[in-house]
Amino acid sequence: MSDGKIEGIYANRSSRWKIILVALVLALFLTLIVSLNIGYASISFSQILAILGKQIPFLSGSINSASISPSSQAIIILIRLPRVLAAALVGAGLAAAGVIYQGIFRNPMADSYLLGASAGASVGYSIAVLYVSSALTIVGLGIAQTFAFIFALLTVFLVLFISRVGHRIPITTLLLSGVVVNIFLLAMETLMELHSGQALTGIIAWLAGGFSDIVWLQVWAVMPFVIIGIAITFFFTRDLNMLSMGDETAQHLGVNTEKVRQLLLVIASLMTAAAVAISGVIGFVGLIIPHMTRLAIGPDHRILLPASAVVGAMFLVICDAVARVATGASELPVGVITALVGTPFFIYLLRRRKTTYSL
Amino acid sequence: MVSLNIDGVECRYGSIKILENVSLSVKAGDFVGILGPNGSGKTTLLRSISRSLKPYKGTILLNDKDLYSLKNIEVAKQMAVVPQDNTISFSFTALEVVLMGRNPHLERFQMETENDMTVARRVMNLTNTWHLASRPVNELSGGERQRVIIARALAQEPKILLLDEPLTYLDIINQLEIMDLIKSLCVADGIIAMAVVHDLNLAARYCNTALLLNKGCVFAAGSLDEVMTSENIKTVFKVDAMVKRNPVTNSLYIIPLSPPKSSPPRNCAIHIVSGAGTGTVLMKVLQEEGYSLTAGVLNVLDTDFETAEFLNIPVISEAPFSPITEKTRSANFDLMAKSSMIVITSVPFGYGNLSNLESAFEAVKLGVQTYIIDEEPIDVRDFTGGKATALMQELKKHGAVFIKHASELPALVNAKHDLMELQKNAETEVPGHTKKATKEIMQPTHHKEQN
Amino acid sequence: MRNKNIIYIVATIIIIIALLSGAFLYLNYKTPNNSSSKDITIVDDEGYTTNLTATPQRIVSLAPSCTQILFAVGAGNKVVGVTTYDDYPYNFSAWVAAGNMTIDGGYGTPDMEAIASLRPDLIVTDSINDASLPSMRTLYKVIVLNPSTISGIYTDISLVGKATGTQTQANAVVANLTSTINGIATKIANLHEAPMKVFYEVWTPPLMTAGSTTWINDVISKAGGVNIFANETQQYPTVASETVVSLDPDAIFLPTEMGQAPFYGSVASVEATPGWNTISAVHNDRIFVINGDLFAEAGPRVADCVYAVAADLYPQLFNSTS
Repeated sequence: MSDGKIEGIYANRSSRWKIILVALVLALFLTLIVSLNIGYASISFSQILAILGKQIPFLSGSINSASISPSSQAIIILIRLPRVLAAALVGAGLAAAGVIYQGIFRNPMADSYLLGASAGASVGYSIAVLYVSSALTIVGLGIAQTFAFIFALLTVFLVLFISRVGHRIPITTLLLSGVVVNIFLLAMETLMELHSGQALTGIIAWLAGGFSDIVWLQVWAVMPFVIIGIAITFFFTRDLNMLSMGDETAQHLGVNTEKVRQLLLVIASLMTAAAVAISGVIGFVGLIIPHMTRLAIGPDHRILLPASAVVGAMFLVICDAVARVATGASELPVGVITALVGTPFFIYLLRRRKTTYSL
Repeated sequence: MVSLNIDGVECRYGSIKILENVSLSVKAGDFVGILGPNGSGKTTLLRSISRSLKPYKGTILLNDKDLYSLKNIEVAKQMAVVPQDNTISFSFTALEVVLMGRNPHLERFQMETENDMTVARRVMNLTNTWHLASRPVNELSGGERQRVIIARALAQEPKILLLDEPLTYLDIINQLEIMDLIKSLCVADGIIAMAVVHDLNLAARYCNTALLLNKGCVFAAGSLDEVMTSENIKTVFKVDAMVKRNPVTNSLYIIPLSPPKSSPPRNCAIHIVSGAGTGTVLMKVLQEEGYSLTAGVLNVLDTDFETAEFLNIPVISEAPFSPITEKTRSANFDLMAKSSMIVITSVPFGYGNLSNLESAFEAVKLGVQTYIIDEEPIDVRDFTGGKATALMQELKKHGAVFIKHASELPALVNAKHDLMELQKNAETEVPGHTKKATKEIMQPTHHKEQN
Repeated sequence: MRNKNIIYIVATIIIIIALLSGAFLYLNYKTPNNSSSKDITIVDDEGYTTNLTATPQRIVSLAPSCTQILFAVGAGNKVVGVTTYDDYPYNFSAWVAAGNMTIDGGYGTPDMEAIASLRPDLIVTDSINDASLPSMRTLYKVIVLNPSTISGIYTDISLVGKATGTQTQANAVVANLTSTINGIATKIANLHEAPMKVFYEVWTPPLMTAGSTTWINDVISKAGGVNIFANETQQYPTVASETVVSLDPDAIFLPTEMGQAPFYGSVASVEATPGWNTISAVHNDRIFVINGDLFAEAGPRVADCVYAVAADLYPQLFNSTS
């Protein structure tokens, strides 16, 4: 390749990235709108747009709302819209957390649940359901979900704490601590399930992951974690590039390795905990979406992070839509759909690459 | 001008001391070779300078400022590291990897500028990696990847370059090119380079100062001549090596000898007649077998003379390009007469050294067992118009043993020596008819060897 | 060479032994089919045939519905074991205290040792114990009752009557139930009103309801309602909140169980579910809390279930009558 051509590619890199991101965000918007059309009740696109338009203060006057039934409006605004937005936020958060974990651990098997967030959340949820009065709510959120969030965080911080050596947290120790804590918490969870009696159905259903009970309050609760988390991580994406080459290498190139790594781990854990609290444990997103995006766009975290977040959001919105309509009036757990939809696509992408696959 | 001062540094892993009391002053333009056997603390020293391992005691001053008090990014602007391990698990392209070296010079949100691309291009051309620019780095060979990493370090435009075994995966031309490159950067740009190198010869050729570590302590430091001596190498690496100066590159070069076998000393003197390098290997082998050797006459520029000096073998020497004087000849003959055996190598004979052959002939007539290595027939090596050939015939007639291959000599010599020992003992110990029988057995068997 | 032959021989012997044991076990644990004319043959709701050589004298019930049916047909004096949940038609805990009854486990958690100590000659259960059935059937004669319609309940009652030799009384019970329920249905039909759309909330979370293959569905129909999820063939499907909103039921039924906190929270919280304020049942105040225990047991109290629903849906018809 001629010199000029190589340099040309790199010079245009940042504009190419901007174009990719804009295209992805537009695709996400489209997916959101289409997803609003999906569900038991048939509400046409024009009606959807009208309903949405009415929510915007300066537009509402000019929209003819005669043909919109109150139940359609309620379904869109109070049931489908929060659900779809929650799916997008959770998908973005889990994918972004996955990008962070894979970069920091330099390991393709790393995903958002590595440090025990899902195990902690399920234990917290079960404890709340079984032993705490369900009449309590914290800031309007169900007690079970608040417990899920708190326990998810506690678990991650526990894992971080037991892996500390002086001021540093070595990666291998971290991985092993995560494995051990996960096993322990899963055992606790099994114990509680055995004694749960009637509540078992609810616990199992929540664990399988889904958005069937999402209310607006939960969307507002998750949004700051995900949006701010991704924004802050974006500041550190170049550092993440270098961290992914090795801790010492990053340090030699000027990165404050220990501080950046701990900060990013905390952010990833907060995003994961918030996501799991409202949606249960949805697997596959944090593990595979960063891979898929990396295969398509390359490993530079400056584009990988935002792109993965948007792709993760789209993916989960689509999976949730499929979960809603796959079997008539009843629903499937989203976690099943993510695996069924994502796996073949990922295999296709892997086979398409002619060279041997590595991160 | 950049300077690095290491003072009394002690490094530990847990409670184990890896480095103790290491001090070194490095100034701009120095190319320091950090040498030492495995486990002597070379990598640890580099890690303490690159801030990966804080010293337990001691200080490191970068331009008179405490290295460990500086901010990461400040240090990264001035110091670059090429680590021992070069695995990269993500599929960044080579150019992207090199551009990461520009990180210390970029603001947080700045994308790489034209200038950065120029720097990248320049260093990639210097390391011969520009043609790999768009290739994913994890698909490159070990050597290509190593050069990309070196380019990345250079892209930092550092004043100090630390390299830990940077030549491991490189083929010979790349080894030389990289060392040339670093050397030129030291000379032209005044940077400091500190490299852990295992190849003593490469270090000797390119570094201008050396630090020899042994068991975590500084064994020797200073110029190459001061540090790289046979004694130092023997003490630290436990290897016998000859240190010579290569006339073409004008640098020291080290010839390591294989670790000596320890043989019990034989009480047997052998005199070696050789020259032009034909005797070097033989001297070593026979010395290892335990014989006390003498040699002569050799001129002082002869390779065999150097070997003999190195091996502490007494030599009768003569000035170069001069004929052998009577004094020298007689001293040589004395040695021959006192020896139990004489060995003559396949050395060419001219008027300069014919006297050696004449002396040997005289010695044979006195009964000294003589072995002549006849790998190349004498006619080819006779530059005395036939006189040497004639002498050879005479030697043969008087019982000198001719050997086709030098490798056969040690066995023969050992056998002869054992026989001689037996004979000696037989004459004092074995009584009666046994004495007669041994005498018969020990008849010289030269009938067989004459051919 | 010799080693190889030995291996083959040993393997063959082991296989032969295994086959023989299998055959032996099979022959001995297959219910012997040597029937005589006195035998009672019962085909239960799972299609399994049980042969009773004599009228059972020691009956163990593993479900409240089974207990109620046994007592209703008059076989109550043969019942020796009931579950901890049984409280109808008698306060069995007092019987247990007096030593006249034994507890055979919880609902869905049978105590095998307690059952063994009772030496039953017949076990009657519902489908909750399906997982333990194969092993139970090797030891005892087991009849499984699992009705999916009201007539299925009638069939079960007759079945139990046949098994316990109380057909006459069983038939009487069935006739009584049939006439009561038909009476209610006729009264409602005379109103000539369209049936009311009903949403029966079985459980949340996740939001579950009763499908067409449940007798609850039948109860709703007989009581003048139509289950909005009547075309779901799954027994207890999980449904979406928006589907309920979209189907707009006229009445919502919330079952509570005695001694347990309501799974739905409170009527107020159900009304506050996002989007549900547009549902007719909510803004017409037709959210009814009913006795969940009744609706959990498919037995002789099915008529009471129909009455409960009918009385809520058509209060003008049923407030003063029985």
